Amino acid sequence: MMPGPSVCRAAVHPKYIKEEIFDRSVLFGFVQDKRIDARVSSVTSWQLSGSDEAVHVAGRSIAEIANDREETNLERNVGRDPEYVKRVFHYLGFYNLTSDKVVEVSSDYYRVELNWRPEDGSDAHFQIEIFENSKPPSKAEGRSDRNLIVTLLGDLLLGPVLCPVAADNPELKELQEETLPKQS
Amino acid sequence: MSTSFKRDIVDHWFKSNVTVGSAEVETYRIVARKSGGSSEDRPVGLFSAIEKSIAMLPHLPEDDENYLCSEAAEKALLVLSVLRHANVPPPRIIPEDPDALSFTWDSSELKRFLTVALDEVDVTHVHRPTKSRARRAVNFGDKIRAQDVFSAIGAAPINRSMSIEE
Repeated sequence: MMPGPSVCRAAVHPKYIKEEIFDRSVLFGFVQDKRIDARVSSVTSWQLSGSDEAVHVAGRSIAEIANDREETNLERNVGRDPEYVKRVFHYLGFYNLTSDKVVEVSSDYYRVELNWRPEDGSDAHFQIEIFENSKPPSKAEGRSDRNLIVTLLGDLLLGPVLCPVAADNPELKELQEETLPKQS
Repeated sequence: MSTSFKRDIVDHWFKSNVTVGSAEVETYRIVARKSGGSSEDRPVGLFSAIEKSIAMLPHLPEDDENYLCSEAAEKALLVLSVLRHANVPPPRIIPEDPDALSFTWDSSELKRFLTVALDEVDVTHVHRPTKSRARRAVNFGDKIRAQDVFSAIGAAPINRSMSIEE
């Protein structure tokens, strides 16, 4: 299956903490995926989801999973770090990226792929995957090269499309306003 | 669907030609915007908020994508304390790896990364129009000196162009 024309990246607080403090590329939250030896960021196909609301449903479930994981981790790590404060994850909305532009991004040592990776019962799940084309001469040079990649990917973010917030939830509205980089 | 982010024009970038190795590249000197009042200005008070955020990162679970080891956080905080005294607006931050954090300054054409890793400090300039980048290692040695940080980001003294000769 080919990726649709656009994919959506969920903004989940507190992962993408504050716009004024964190660079917008932190929104991608790239993590190392050892199975495919790439740095990956989860996205949702807008076309396979079919509507903004369907993308919001997927986003809310990301926050739910993160909250469950937090509970589990906290039980496991209890007492280890007295300064650790339990986090509560809130889904705030999503950003769009044009698929064709995502896969055009490349650098000296890396290429970007957008691959269909259905998981957790979601057929709309894709990953933005950064693969090494050739070995960077040093760790620092690789990091610098990835700075180019995340800058170009960050520039592709369109939005946010904020999730509807109930009138009795002003805190969530405030988070949306304070946290997310705004479109022009 | 909207087209783009509101660009952060919180600073002015001044071009100067410098030599990196054998290639002449464009680089920029960053100077804080003088006029206040715009919502796009980044108030100096953000330095304290950035400091708190960096100090929090080592307390995240180690498998969190933003986790930073405490030694790297200490080093980043030391560099941040120097940046407070440089003529630059407050940066944004990116935890890169568990042992590295970048400070970033963004303008429409250029994005600058000052990356503080456990074993190395370097500056990367990303030039959007050409989709290219240039990196320069900053030799801090065992000790972080304010002057090294200033010269790495071309922030001081204010009237001298940035020198990035190898």
